[in-house]
Amino acid sequence: MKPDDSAREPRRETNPEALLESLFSEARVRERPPAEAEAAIRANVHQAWRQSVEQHRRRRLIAFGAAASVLLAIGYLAISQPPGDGPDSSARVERVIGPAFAQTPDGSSDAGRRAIGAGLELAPGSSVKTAGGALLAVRWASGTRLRLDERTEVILATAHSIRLVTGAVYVESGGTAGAEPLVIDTAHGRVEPVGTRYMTRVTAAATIVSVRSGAVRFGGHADTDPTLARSGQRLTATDATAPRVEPTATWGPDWSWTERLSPAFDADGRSLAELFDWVAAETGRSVRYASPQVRRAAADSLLHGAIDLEPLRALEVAAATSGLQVSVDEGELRVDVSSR
Amino acid sequence: MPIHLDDRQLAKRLRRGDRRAFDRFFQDYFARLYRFAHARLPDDRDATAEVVQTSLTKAMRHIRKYRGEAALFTWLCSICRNEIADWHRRHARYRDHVVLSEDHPEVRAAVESLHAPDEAGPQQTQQRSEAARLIQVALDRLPPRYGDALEWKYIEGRSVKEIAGRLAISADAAQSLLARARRAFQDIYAELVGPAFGTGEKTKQAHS
Repeated sequence: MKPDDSAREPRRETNPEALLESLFSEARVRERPPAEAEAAIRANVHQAWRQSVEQHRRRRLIAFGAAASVLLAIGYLAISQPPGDGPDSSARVERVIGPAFAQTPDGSSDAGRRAIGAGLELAPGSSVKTAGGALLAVRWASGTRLRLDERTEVILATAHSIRLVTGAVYVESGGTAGAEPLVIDTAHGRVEPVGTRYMTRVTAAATIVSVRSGAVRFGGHADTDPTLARSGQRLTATDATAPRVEPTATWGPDWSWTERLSPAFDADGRSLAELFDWVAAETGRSVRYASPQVRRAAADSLLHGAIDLEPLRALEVAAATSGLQVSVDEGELRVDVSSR
Repeated sequence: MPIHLDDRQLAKRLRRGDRRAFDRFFQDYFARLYRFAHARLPDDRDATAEVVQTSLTKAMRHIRKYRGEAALFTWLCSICRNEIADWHRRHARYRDHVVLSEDHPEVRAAVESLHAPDEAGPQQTQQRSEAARLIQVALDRLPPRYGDALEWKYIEGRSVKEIAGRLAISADAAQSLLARARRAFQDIYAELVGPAFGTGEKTKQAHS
């Protein structure tokens, strides 16, 4: 072999130890996931695992006799709800985005609080907190829904009243006939809805109630006469002044966080027109059809499956295949025949 | 390699509701799955957390379906891939789709066909960076004790005695474990980078 050939030929490392040392010399320690995300995910996965184990155990017991399974079901309910409370008084977590935590009324949990996952039941008296960037949606058996913005803390006092300590919540009153409305207590007063969708935001200085539909009644601590705010109005209450009511938009950036928690739209067998109505309700807008024919076309177009997208995105996806186009013009969804 | 037997045993204990099995499962698999997902959703930690949570939740709900034919981590990764695909469909926003060479053999083949220039340059840096990344991928694909032991030894520079202490085993057992870990690592790394590994040729090219 010529000297210059051997100089060009690569030196082959065959010693495993030396080979790995050479290879690893460029490597870095593997990254650890963020601790807060790990804790939240662990709690949620643990809950799913426990539910799966329990479901499997219950199915096995049913196979051994109906009487035994009934006793187990009664025992399970007794464990999951405090004595004296009916099953309707707890709120169920529908959706959670990012880290959110709950503390049970008796304060018994590891390190005083636990991470929240979808499906979790929150007993009356639980306090709930969302971290920066986090959002949370809960629902009661009455159908009332509550959405929490980031950096929000609420205490779920009962099935019909909460205390908003700080941050913002969006309330959608329950659909069950005769359902008692959800009352919100803040540092500045009490917000009582009258069949409505509204948002309440609490800062150190003020409580701000923005009403999308229906009306709310606000009673300050020193007031004898509550103040009413209706759809399209915003009420601002401070310690220093009487509540002030002024017009406000029912759509726009202040409301956009609530759309990330919109419940999935069960589209199966429903019409495009119903989807438009749902998007309008979720985004605080109204639907405007270019003509009666366009309205009829929307009513006649049937959808299939479920749509689990944010409302405006759901609109784009559904309309794209229908021959209709929908444009968002401030407070209106304008529906016309597609120009494509 | 007794990986699948251990995995089947762990799955069985999970099905029975063994709390320590859950602790072990989460400790062994969470961080690895997180890194797997994050490599495919690199600019969105919220999406990564969401996808990992959904994947692990599904895995817990369907743990009865795990038969042990593939490694448990492989099974988890396949669930996670589907969740990532669903996430992209749901969000339907333009994203830089991350193409990883271990997911696409044709990409790996293209990378292998590149000849490194004599002088160090962007291509050299890229290859070095890719080699470092694939080392981490390979470590994550190993059984956790193997991956950890190799990382402690070759990246953190810990002694065999320290490693033995961390694993609560004797120094001899630690040496033996490291030997098995090296062989396992070489097999996995070779699959990721192709047949050039093992001769030192690619390593020399990347490091020259």
